[in-house]
Amino acid sequence: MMRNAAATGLLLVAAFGVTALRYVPAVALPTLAPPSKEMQQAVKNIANALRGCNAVDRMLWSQIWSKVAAAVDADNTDTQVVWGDTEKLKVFTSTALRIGWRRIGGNKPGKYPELQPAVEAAFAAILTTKVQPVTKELRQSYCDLCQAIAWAGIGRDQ
Amino acid sequence: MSDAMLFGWQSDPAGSREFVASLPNPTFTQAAPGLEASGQDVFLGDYLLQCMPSWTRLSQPIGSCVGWGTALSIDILASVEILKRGEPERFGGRTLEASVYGLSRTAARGVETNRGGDGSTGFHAAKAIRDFGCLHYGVDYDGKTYTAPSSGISERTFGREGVPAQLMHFAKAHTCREVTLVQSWPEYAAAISNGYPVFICSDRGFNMTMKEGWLSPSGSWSHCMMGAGVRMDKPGGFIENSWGDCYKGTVDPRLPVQFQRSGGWVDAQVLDKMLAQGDSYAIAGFNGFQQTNMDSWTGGIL
Repeated sequence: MMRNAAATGLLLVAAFGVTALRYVPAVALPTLAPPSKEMQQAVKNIANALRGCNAVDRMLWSQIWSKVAAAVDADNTDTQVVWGDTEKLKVFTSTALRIGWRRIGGNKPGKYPELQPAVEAAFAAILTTKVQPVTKELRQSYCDLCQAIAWAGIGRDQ
Repeated sequence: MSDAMLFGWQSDPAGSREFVASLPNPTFTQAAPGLEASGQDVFLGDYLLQCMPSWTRLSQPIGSCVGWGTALSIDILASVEILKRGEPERFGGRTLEASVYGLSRTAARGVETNRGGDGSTGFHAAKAIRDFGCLHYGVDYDGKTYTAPSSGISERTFGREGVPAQLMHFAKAHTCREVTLVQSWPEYAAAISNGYPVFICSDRGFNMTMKEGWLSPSGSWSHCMMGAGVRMDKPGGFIENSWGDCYKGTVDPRLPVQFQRSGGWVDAQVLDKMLAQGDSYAIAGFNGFQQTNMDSWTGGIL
């Protein structure tokens, strides 16, 4: 795949010159509906923390949080609930980040120094840090927050 | 379908009258004079399933129905207090039925051992959970953890020897502040409508085949079950048994799957007569588990 990309790049240089290369690594960021005002406020510092973030990381960030939201939202439709309390949700959240952000994306802790405190603050504001049962309302808030974090990653607010 | 229909309630009208007379608020009406049935259907099992999504009704292994009916009442009360009343507690898991059963046969009677046959009374269970508390599955009690399901051997041991002395202080941390007699359908409906579970002891038996979730009276069971719901379209109470998914026939599809064959609706008039036998109790004020906080949501990955 890498060879194909390199070959494509060389062909573009041959055909159109160096400026054509600018478009090769372009990443199509997803289109996400803006979250509620409350959620926008909650994730404002996350968007700020990602201000210098490159497009690849933005896309990965957005994809991870969108899929986390989709997975947890589906828990509402099954008779056998997987994430019954917030401690289990926390394990899922951190595992998704560990796999997606760290292992696949290769991002080390502290790469965006303000990101960790901003995400923790958003969760604390919307869901608190209490260990408690995941009610339908709490599950909805969790999914809304994850979607808002995904939205903050694509930088549409800036 | 459960093969064994085990009971275990011991009728002692004089004993229950004496116990009830000793209560600061003997009846539910006296304990909560302003509370009435809401006029709406209420199913308290929904709260339990939100706190414990994996819950299913298992089967009592010996004649320990009093322990099972009372323990489930505690679990439902704990979940109601967290979700309906917003008490700052966390759900600590399922109550160890054997602990309630054992305490009802020993400590609540002022004896250390009880070599009599299986079984207990409602009022001794009420006294046990008020004065001595209960243990829970999955909790580490200084290296001893009970895991579900409990065996007949362990339930019988608890029933004869009581809760081990070194665990009594753990049980004492989880008492129910108030127990009060429920002796009629209106009292039952008011209790359930306001989130107070009722464990029901009577000699009323039922046919094992339901019709749209309704149980019809049949035979005699010296049995303790657990009241977890009321409905008003055709007045009745939902009574949960302790024999697993024991009922055949057609279910009430509005109920969660976990409750559809493990309990059923009982006509208000039938329930009224069961309660009039004078050994059924509403419980309130569970001293639950301290709420805990997570150190983070993302675990230092970012």
